[in-house]
Order: sequence, then C-alpha cells, then structure tokens
Amino acid sequence: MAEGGVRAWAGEAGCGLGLAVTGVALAAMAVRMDLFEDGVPGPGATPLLLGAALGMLGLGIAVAAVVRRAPQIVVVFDRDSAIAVGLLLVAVVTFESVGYVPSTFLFLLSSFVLVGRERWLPASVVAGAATVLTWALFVKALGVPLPIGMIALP
Amino acid sequence: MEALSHLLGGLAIAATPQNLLWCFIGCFWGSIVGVLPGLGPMAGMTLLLPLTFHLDPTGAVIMLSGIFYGAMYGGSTTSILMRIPGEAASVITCIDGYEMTKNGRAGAALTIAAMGSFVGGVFSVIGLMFVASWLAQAMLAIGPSAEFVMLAATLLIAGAVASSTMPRTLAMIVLGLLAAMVGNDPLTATPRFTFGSLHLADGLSFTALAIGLFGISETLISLKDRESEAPKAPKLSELLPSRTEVAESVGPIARGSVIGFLFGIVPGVGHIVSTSASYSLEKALSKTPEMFGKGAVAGVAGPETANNATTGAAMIPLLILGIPAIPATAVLLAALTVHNVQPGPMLISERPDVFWGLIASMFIGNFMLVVLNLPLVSMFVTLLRTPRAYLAPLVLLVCTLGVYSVKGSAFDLGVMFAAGVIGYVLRRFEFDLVPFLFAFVLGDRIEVSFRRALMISEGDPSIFWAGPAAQLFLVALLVIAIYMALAGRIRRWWG
Repeated sequence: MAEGGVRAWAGEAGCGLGLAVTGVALAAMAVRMDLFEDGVPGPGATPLLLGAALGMLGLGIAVAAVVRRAPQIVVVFDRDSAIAVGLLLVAVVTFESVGYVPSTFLFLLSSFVLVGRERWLPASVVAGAATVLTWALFVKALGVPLPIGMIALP
Repeated sequence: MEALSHLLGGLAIAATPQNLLWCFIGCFWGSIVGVLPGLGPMAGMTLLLPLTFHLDPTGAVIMLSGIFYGAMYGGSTTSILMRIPGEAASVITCIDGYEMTKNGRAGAALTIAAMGSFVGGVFSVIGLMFVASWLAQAMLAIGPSAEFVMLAATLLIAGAVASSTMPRTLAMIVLGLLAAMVGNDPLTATPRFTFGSLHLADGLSFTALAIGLFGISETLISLKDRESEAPKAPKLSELLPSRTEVAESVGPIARGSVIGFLFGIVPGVGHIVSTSASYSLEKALSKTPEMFGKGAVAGVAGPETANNATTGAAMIPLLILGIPAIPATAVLLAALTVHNVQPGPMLISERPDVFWGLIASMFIGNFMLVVLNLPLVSMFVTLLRTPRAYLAPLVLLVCTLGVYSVKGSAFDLGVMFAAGVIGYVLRRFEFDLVPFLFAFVLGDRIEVSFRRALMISEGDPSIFWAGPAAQLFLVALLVIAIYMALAGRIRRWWG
C-alpha cells in the first residue's frame, strides 16, 4: 500500500460514517430545543430535520461504499501534506502565545526546508524577508494588530 | 436614458483615485490567481476578503469583483501557453489555444482571448444595467414562501452541477445548512450548537470557513503537483493577430457575448456550461469544423468571450436576487453582508452608490485588464516559475493572516485549520465543497423565509405552492430534483 494510502471504499465509508455521526449528534442536540412554537417550527425544528437527513445520507454513503468496495488506493496524507498540516497546526496554536514574528518565521523556515526541500540558508532569507514584509503590510500599512508575543518588530 | 445618467453617477464614484486603486489591485491580483494553476477566483477572493473589511462597501465590492473577472482573463494565459487551465472555466480554451501556440500563434491567441474577454465583459455589464432594474421590480412582489422555494431551487441547482455524486452533494448541502445554524437563532435568539462559547454566538466565521475549505485544502492538494513546465512568453511584436484571424473571431465574439450573458443569468449554470456551449455552437457553424482541436481561432474567441460575459451576467442574480449564481459570487455576497449591504431588489434604490459604482468600475476594470494582461504576459510567465517550495507555505501564511486580521481571533484560526483539513480529506474522496458553501451562505435566509412563511400561514404548508411566483419556482425545483435523480442516465443517453 502506498505511503499513507487507504482503500477508496474505506475512506468513503469513513467520511460517510463521520457525516452520519455528526448528523445524529446535531439532531440529538436539536431535540432539546423548542421544536414548535404556536404550531409553527421553532429553533430546533430545522436542525432536527437536517441532522436526521445528514445522518441518513452519511449512512447511505457509508453503506454504498462498503457494497461497492472501490479497490483503488487513495493517498490522503503523504509525507509533504502530513508535515504541512502538522506545521500549520503548530503555527495556529502558537500564533497568539508565542507571537507573530517567531511563529511565522519558524513556520515558513520549516515548511521551506521540510516540505519544499530547500537549503537552510536561502530558506532562512526568504522566511525572514516574508515575515518582515507581511508584518509591515498588515501592521504598518493596514493597521491590523498582530500578536506581539515574545519578539516584536518596531 | 435613466440608466445612462445613473451610470455617469457610478463613473464619478468608480473613478475616484481610491476606487481606481482598489479596482487595479483587484484586477491585478485576479490576473495572478487566474494565471497560477490551482488558485482560481474563489481562492483569490477569499484570500483578500479580510482586507476588504477595512474598506468602504463600494471599494470592497469593486476590488473583489476585479479579482473575479481578472481571474477569468488570467486563466486564459496558462490555457493558451501551457495547456493548463488557470481556473476551471478556461478548460475549453486549452483545446485550440494551445494548438495555436504550437502553430506559433500564441501571441495572436492571447490577443484574441483578451479582446473577446473585453467585449464579453462590457456586453454583460451593459446587459446588467438594463436587466437589473426590471428584475428588481419583479422581485419586490414575492413573499417569504416564494423566496424559500427560489432559494431551495438555487441550492439544488448548485447541487445538480456539482462534480460529486448526488448523495455526497446532498450531504454537503445539508452540512452547509447545519453549519449556518450555529449561533443564535435569527428569529428567537435561542443559542444553537454554540456549546456555551461566545465565539460561536454570532455563528461560524464565513472567512475562516471559506479560506479553510478553499485556500488551505487547495494548497494541500497543490503540494502533490510539484513540477510544472514554465512556458516561453511571446514577444510584444508577436501579439498582433493577422487580418484573417481578426475576421474569423468577430462572429464568435458576438455570439459568445450573448451565450455567456444568457447562461450567466441562470443561477448555478456557470462558466463551464457557457464556454462549452459556445465552443459547440462555433464548431457547428464553422465551415471548417475539422480545424477545431487543431488551432481554430473561433475555438478561442467564442469560449473566452462567453467566459467573461458569464462573469458579468452572474452579478444579476447576486445583486438583484441576493443569490450567488456561481461559487465565486458567494464570496461577494458574504462581503456585501459584512458591510451591511443587503443584496436584493432594494439594492438599486437603497445603495445606488454601491450598485452603480460597481457597474461603472466593471467597465473600467475590463479596460484595465486588456491594458494589463497583454504587456504583462512575460511577468505572468515568470510568476509561473516561482518554486512551489516557496509558494505553498506563503499561501498558507496569507490564509492565516487573512483570517486573523478580520477579528483578531485565534478561535477563527482553529476553525480555518479544521475546515482546511476536513475539506482536504473530503476532497480526496471526491466530495465537492461548493454546494456546502452555497448552503452555508444561503442557510440563514432559507430558514428564516421557511419559518416566516409558516408563521404567515399559521402552520399551513400549502403556502409554499400558493401564488404564481411560488408555483413557478416550485416547478423549477421539481425539474431540478428530477434532473438530479436522473442525471447519470441523462448523461449516458446524451453520450
């Protein structure tokens, strides 16, 4: 099996089941809201209806995938996309706590090197320039406050 | 005459230095995202959407529209030079455009595409000027029941033209409607699916969702095609088409304008259908149909014109009905709503500055694009040589900054990340996300019109088929539902 690959039918069934669970969970929450007020639909009626519909559609997609059993392999997360997702997650989580400058610089540098397979030196230069330029554009030109955190630019 | 005097007023608004700058930035950025394969108008608009929140509504919509039609112009460049459609609407142009390049007529193909795009764009804006007022009057007469049926029909049309199977498309529509219900209920203010979080009280952020679903997931997908061949740019002297080529393109440009406009008005039909229809018509009318696929001028002129005419015409359902006819206009709708400008039949009378300013800016923008695109072909080609190693992380950074700059909310960054990863996984398993976005944008209005109609009728559902407007939309809804159910068989029968 290819790196990070899953059978198409298994992936489709997984997506279907995910949607079904989401639908059922939302429908269950909607039941606790007012379903009808003075004979007309209340705030819970439409979500209940839609949640149930999503549950059935998701289940249908999952069952159809299992019955059809499409044999192809789908690579969802290969090395590059998995690293990119991981680095983006770190950047998002540290954006406010660590601050814009260090989190962005490290995100760009590690992405250029690990995903783009660039050499450290040119990657550092581009990452540094991009961090400073975007800071200047957003903070100085557009007046958008970005989190200062540990290291701030003037 | 009245329309012309309004247009002059709009020109005064659009021609202010600030609005000219927004128009230029929009057209320029649109051309870039159109040129870069994988980044279409949708991603291009969502990436700059947060920046428009700092502008006035007219400037914001002028800039976003510039991106929209600029991307349509830019998309033809890679189609003609590399046989890679910059965005989906340029697929048809690849066929004969690239053949013209192989025959040494790349410059002529680019010029004909630009001229056709200009004529199509201007034609559709003129049509928009005259149709909009009339349509607005008609729409004022419809009530919440007809509005509900119309919006439901729009959603189903979006589903009918989606690229995934019917159950997946319906699941995406339902999921989008449910996502739109997060936050306080618009009629009773009851919190729904907020989990007690204040971040969710106003609902999920459109920007975070759209950038996640389209910007992030698109970038993750683009990591897979690392290699791309950079083409050679034609010299300026090679851009002039011959007399024969000009003569061969006049008819297709005229017909493409009309076809593109007519298809653009119909919600959900969009560019791919209009460009395909134009190509088929030109081939059917041609005295040398065997030349199609081998570098026929009409095969470039017609579809490119139709492409841009569709873009202008798609503004009609957006501005007058408040419904996005094609995915990119959903972003425009969101931008207008953020600025407290409610698209609909009252827009022309309530916000003439926005409406006529936009129309006038589209004339200016179409002209700018012709001036921009031909001399800058070399620059766009150089852009295509940007190493993917740098491009993808930089786009991810712009996504993050874009979302954060709207409200300064780390929570929205989390929504963007989650939407990006979920969207990416769903796309790997061939779920089309466009119906989700349509449903999310229209969800509020659909639910409110549904419940208001039932309040008026005191719970009697027959209100949804009472009155000619509701009946008309209901028939449309049924036809689309039947088409969706039989789409596979119809396509097989059509061959």
